[in-house]
Amino acid sequence: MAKGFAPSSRIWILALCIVCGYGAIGYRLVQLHVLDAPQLVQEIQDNRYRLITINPKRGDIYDANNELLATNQTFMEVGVDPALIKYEDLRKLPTLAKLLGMDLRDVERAFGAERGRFVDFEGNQRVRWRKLRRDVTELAYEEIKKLNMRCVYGNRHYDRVYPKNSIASHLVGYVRQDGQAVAGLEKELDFYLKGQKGWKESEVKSGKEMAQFRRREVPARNGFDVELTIDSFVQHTIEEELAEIAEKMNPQTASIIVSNPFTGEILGLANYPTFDPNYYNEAKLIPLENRDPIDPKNNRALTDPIEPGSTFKIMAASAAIEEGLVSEQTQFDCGQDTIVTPSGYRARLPKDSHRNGVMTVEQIVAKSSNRGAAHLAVLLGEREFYDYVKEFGFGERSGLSIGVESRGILNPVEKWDGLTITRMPMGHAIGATPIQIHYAMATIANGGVLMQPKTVARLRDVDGNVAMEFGEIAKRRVVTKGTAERIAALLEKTVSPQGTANIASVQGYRVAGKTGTSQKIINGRYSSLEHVGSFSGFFPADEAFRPGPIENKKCLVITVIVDGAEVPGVAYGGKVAGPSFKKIAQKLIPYYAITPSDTERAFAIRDNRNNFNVR
Amino acid sequence: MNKRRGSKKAANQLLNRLILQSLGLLAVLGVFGLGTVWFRHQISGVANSINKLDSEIVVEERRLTQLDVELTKAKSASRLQKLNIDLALGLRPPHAGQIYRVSENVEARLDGKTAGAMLTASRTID
Repeated sequence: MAKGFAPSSRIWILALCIVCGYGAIGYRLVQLHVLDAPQLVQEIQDNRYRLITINPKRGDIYDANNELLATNQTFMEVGVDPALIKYEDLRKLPTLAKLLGMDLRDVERAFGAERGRFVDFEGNQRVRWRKLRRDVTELAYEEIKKLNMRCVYGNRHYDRVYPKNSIASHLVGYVRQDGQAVAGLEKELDFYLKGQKGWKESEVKSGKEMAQFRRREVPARNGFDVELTIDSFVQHTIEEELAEIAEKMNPQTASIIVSNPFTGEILGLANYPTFDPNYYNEAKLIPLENRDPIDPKNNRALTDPIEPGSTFKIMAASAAIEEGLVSEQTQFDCGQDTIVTPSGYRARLPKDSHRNGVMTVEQIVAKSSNRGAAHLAVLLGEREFYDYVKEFGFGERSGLSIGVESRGILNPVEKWDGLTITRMPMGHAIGATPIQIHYAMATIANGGVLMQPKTVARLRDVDGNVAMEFGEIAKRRVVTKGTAERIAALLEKTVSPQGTANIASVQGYRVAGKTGTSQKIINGRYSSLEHVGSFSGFFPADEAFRPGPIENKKCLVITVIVDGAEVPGVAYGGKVAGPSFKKIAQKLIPYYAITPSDTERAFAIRDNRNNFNVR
Repeated sequence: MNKRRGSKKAANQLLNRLILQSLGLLAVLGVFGLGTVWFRHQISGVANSINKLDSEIVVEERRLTQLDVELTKAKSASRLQKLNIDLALGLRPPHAGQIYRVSENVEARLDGKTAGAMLTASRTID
């Protein structure tokens, strides 16, 4: 006979208890999960639910050798909570000051203390946070934490840092403390650099995310890394040269550009004065008497049009040779004072620095004759000359997208006065930016093809894969290769002992270039005291026209422009900019392993042909 | 009497079965409940571990970036120039006369040298 575990009455009571218990639990469950569920869920949502934004990492900027130019770094903004200061903390203040790189007195002041004693106890009770320093590195902060001072703590924040300081600052630009990219490539490539924000739905308790309640997550997409064509060595070389120019000549501004003529790649671009993007807010305007102040943050190679002076003479010579109107040996009487312009006016010719008589085109370029250049332009006619000037890239933006760029000033023919056709060929009556002057010369070095300037080589994703590659862009052919080669040969004469820029010659290498000196316009008049001296050229000149793939050819175009140099006498381009060209070239020759020219043979041929006693 | 005893026996059997089944159900539910709690605890633990690892990765990335920055600063041309002066190292770039330009195919020459050394070694062993 099966017996029960207990008498039937107790069994029923037990059963009733179990049922009631289950019933109570069931009721509570129904209450929590059904009846009160919406309200309770809402409460949880209100208290713990968070839509958390995940910030992407801004991409880094590298130079052509993969050297870091811009990155993000975390810093701690360290401060003191005076209410938590203990007496024993005061003994640690000298160590804290040392770690923070601050003056001990400043740290003591923040602590309301002096010589190890409180002097501002009441004040300490009222203030809850006194900032000590904003840019404390993580490593330094770890050391500070080891001091075991409860009152000292920091908040982490990201800042953009430029480890090479002012190197390529005008190209790279900078990002403000609020994260806004405001200048240079930082601004132009902001879309690619900044990445894409992510987000996650989760719950937070006591300020910390409860990862187990994470519902959905869209990860952030970090920004692309940017690889530039800029080479830090070249950039450093030209910035060093600018610093030397500044020290010796105290110019108002100066710019140097170095590029590869075959690809349009800029290898270095620098301006004086410059600034450190890490401390962009410390770059103050430099006041000038009776003129607009100079902003060191401006990329003057792109923003400031100047009258290019004689470097512009290659336009008239190139156009006249290209049109077949003249040859190197065509002669012009540069002794006469007037000329009949294409519009029928008899215009006064500009003066030359020294009186010349009959000159060949070769001599006009080598000796930089203003009158000779005017003769060439008059021969071409206004419209034809204007078209060539335009073709060389003047009056239009270069396409170098690194911030604000000026088109320069090139008035249409309809706005020219009777003198313009005689003044523009010598680089007056036109405003050109240093980058325009540079790329006009690069056009000759590249066999007559104008390239689009390029500073960005490629974009890479976080895994290092190439996301975007920027190839070279040929804008247009301006003159034939034959004409470019003939002009290059004329430009070599400029650097010869008979030319105006022999000082720019580099031993063992064929250099082609042109000096430029223009008077500055001060208060609406040409000043006889202030000049812009320039030199634009390339070397080795023979390498530029050697047949073969561009990857195997090593040729550099260098432009040096010095505005308002304080030197004895006139600040001629050959005097203020030519030597810098030479020094930069000499430093870059071993770096790029540029092979010397076959100088003797090359010059011997021309010596026989043109009766030029060159070297 | 027998009839009453028979019905009591059936009730006890039913009750016994009910109690046993209830206990069984409780045990199953308990195991299931505890299992769920353990499982959720494990999920929380893993989620928090992942979160912690993520934070550690971020910290390490921060340190790496800082190291990169320090390294770049240390390698910068201006810093090297300063060290050159401070430590009186007398280092300077080579001038034209010091540079020897190699016109032959360097790779082929080095390859030839390496292959030659290997052949010499093999001959020695023989």
